[in-house]
Amino acid sequence: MRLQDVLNRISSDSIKAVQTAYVWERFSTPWPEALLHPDELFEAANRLSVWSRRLLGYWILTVGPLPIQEEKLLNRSVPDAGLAAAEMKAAVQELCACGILYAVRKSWGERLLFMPADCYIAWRQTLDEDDEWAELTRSSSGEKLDTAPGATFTRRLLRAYATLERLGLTLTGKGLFPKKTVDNVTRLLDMPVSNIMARLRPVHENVYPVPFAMALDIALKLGLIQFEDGRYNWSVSALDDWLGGDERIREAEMAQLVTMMYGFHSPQEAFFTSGLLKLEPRCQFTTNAGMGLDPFHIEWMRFLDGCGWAQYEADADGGCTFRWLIDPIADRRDALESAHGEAVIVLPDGELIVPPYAGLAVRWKLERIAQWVRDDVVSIYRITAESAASAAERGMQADEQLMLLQEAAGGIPLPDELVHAIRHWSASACRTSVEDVVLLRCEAKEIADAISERTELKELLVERLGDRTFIVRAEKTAKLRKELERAGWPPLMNEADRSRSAASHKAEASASGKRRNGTQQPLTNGLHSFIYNEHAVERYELLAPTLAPGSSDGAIEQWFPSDWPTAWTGPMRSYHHSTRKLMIESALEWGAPIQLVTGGQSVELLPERLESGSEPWLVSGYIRKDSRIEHVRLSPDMWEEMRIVIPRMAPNESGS
Amino acid sequence: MEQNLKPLIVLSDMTLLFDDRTTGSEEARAKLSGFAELMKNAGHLHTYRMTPLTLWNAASAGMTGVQVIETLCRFSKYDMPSGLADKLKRLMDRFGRLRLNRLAGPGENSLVLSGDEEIMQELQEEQSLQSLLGSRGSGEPFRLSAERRGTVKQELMRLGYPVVDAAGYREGETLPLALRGQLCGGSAFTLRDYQSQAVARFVQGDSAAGGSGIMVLPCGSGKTIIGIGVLAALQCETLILTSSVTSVQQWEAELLDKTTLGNDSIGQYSSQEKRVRPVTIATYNMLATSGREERDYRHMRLFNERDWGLIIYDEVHMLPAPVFRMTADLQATRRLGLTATLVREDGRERDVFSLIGPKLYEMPWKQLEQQGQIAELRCEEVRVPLPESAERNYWIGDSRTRVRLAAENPNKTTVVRHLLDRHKDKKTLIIGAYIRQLKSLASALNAPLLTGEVPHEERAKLYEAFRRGEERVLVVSKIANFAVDLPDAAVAVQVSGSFGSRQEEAQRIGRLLRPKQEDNSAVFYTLVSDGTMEVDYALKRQRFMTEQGYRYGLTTVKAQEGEMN
Repeated sequence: MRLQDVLNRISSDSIKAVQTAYVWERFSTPWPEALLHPDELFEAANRLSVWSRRLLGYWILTVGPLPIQEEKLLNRSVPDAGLAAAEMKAAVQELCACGILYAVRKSWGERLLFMPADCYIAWRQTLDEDDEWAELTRSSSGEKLDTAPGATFTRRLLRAYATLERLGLTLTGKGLFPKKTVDNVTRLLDMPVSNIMARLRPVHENVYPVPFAMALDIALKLGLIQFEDGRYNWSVSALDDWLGGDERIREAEMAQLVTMMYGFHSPQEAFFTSGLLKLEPRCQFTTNAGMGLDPFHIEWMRFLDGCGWAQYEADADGGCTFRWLIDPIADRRDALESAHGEAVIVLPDGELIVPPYAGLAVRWKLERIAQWVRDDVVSIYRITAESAASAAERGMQADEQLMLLQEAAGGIPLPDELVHAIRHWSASACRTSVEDVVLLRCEAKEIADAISERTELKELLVERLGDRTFIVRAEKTAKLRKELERAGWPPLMNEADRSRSAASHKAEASASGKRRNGTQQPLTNGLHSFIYNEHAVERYELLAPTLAPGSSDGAIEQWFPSDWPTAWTGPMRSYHHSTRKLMIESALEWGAPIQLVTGGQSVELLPERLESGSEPWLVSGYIRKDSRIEHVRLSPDMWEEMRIVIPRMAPNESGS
Repeated sequence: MEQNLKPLIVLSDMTLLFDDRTTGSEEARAKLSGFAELMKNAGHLHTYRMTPLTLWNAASAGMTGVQVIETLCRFSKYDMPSGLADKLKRLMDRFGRLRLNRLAGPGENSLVLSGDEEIMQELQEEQSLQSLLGSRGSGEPFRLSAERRGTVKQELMRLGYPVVDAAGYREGETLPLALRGQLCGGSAFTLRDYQSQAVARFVQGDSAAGGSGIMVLPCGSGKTIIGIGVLAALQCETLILTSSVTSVQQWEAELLDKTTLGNDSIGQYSSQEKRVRPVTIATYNMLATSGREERDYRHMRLFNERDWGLIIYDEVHMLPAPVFRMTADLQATRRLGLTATLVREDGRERDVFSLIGPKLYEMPWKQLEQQGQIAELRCEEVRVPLPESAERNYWIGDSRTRVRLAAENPNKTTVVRHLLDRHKDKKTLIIGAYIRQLKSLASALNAPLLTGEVPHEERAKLYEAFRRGEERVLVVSKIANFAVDLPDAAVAVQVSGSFGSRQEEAQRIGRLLRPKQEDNSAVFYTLVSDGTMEVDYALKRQRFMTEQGYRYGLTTVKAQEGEMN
């Protein structure tokens, strides 16, 4: 789930509440926009409590963009995250209240926590402890080479969508896209076979090849197509938005989207694939066999190479080189002033040279009026007799084609030869048309003459053909019948009408039979994705960001029993062993950490278990120092003083 | 140089798109021509191509891969395609590392291919070379028969391995001759700069490119003179093959005019006479004529009749299949192909390269025009409406009928008259494809008609009359496509053509391009029936000229009056 998908499902009150959270106070970029900008997130992280920051670090490394059961998270809090249960709860609450983490509830009440996938990518760029990819890019001495991308996945996708638009989104009787459509789109995507592709499961895997399913999946995700009233339709506004803007940004967005959709199957995968996005563009990175790349890593880099976004090459020694050919994290704020791109060069022989970042909108226009030749540093199209005639057949006459071309050429006059050629080719096309019409035939000319005079019938007629026949308005057939009956000329029922009539009788009988039997055919619904996503949380109820009332600020002492002796949570003291045991038990029950003084030093203990079977009793847990934890087993005489620590929500405080 | 003002776009297949509108483009163009060849010139974006041969030519002139890459980077508007720099370096580094020599010894007819062991290993692994080169021991060269020389060189070139061919060629029987410094008429004669360059490129000896190959130059640029220049440089007995008897006669005339050769040294081998001399000129038709037995091409004996040191293929794009096959066996003899349009609608240009040799020299049409070496040309397409009755028949007819109706549009006659009136003081050719149409035009214009049926002597007389100005208009059939020398035609009106043939269009235009004494300009009109298939054919036909940098203006004739706008 991405951030926008979340925002579409929460109320405006919740949005306002999050915006006023202290973390976002006086931020240059407000929430939620800030969630997608690493610079802003860095500042936001500094405002969070120490436990939230620790949880975030743990989350990025271990949970990633995948949902996790809240209970499972709490169970892992001590050994994995180095957080006491109470600290973990406090951190979760704070991060949810700040709109950084979200929760969904399954139908039986279980809660799943998740971070939106695009936010995860942004956080990946912000927090980079223990991140060898960040280390790699910082220490890179790789050669920076200026090489241009060729036929990127985005461009191929655009061509596939243009073809889809041409062929239409109509489904067959079985509710599937026609084979011709599927084959064309698959061919245009031209994706090399890879294990990454092989593991994706299309919803109709017996019918749709993976590339086709990907194309439609992405179109749905981008909002380019929608399912309404039993059919798919293009969203003109979404399409205009996608086509507009800087092409470099669109490439980056697509690279990230594909990473989110197909490279986030596990937290480990997500850590790697999002880490790759951090590598400096155009810089060549070399790994050797000892770097511990596993088969998935290699497949993913190869997949990116196949998408035209990167260059990957394995060497004979088990290592590889990798380089981004695009900047995968360019964002809208990087958009160049020349967002509209360079103009297309139009040659007299009909060849069109499209500069590298001319813009998707320009390419879309050219797809409608020209034949694609190839993609290279520039893309090459050609206006041919076939392309001009094809455009004309789809309703685009010569003037419109020339206008599109002129716009693409940036206002530079088009070569005369080409203008004349387009006019000639378009004029030859569409001098005929094939239409489905409804005819009214009359037995005699006199009847036809009379019909054309009657006011009630005249308005239903479109055109007279010869003496005895009319084209009539198809949608007014029923009214036409009535008027003809009224005028004394009840029309003969034709074959189709007779068949329809018989069929409707059958259908009625069948339906009534089914009603009696209590069964009913389900309606065909549109798909929310064309590729199965086992981690999808969209189907669950999204909870509002603030989890517990009144707990988004101040301390969380209310979670803890009010009958604890005040001294236990006060300054450090020495206690009798039995009291120590009691305190340990209480801390275990409530998930609180314990501060100890041992050997004159103050340490934090995250108790895990009390071992009362032995004498003296032992407490096992983790000593936490800085961000590291170390497992220990302590007997009560191994420390001098102690207290229970109640976590606070205040920023940058540890609660001590 | 600001990025968006740089003139070059470099593509991954070694194609270069050059924008001549940008500042500094002249400097870039000069550098490009050192390692790339101009492919087309449409509009302001010219297409160049780096090929292994152009790169090796650059290497032989001392250029390195690094220098080529630096030039490309310096002038390139966008980033270089991935992997191209490595490819260029690899290709150029290979130059000089393979060598073909003749095995020493009397009667020895074998060659040896030797070079860097690393490259030799690579060649050993190439499947396509295994049957050609056989096997060898480590450190040993490959041995191959002389007959495979051409095929091996072509295959090596295709694979990206240049070979320095030091095996030499048959010298042929020596024939002493020189170019005249002064012609019979008294005027001075010397080769033009580009003609000298072309000759030098051919005779450059043992380079990877020298020895045999094709020269592509515009009509009217003096390809015949280049052939004669090569002959004079090599000083050997020569067989010249050309397309028609008229061309044979013209070659003979030029040889007598421009060289010190006498009548006894030059022979014609055609249907009219068969004289084999130290320089013999024959037609392709003659050689491709078979006897009673199938494949008995008895005139092919001509190839072995004398010890030729050079074979010249004039209008090499017309090389017929049987002559192709015979040519494959002549690898030890230098072969020179001449043409203005190495374009074949059947796409068999590659066969010409592989059997004659690679393209050694090319001179763009526009460049020669700018230098004044050929006439300045204007092209115009005139759209002529069909009369109503013909239009009706056009739409109900099949495609064959439509082609004829469009081509023989009677309204074209009116337009031709108008054009003749416009250029009343210029010698004009009316060229067409259909005899019936041409007869009708000749009759209507009271002009002589020249077809393949007209005997050679009468044809020669008509040419002479046209040359002298006694006849201002000639109506000519397809024979105008071939090597016909009409030095003073300044206007041509094409009334019909062979479908979408680019070559035919270029060849017909070529009839106008010889430089003229006073007004060095020419106009080519092509009459096209509006709204018919002829328009589509015209667009195809014009492509070659458009790629040479020529633009066609468009005029539409008004339907009613038949008058031009």
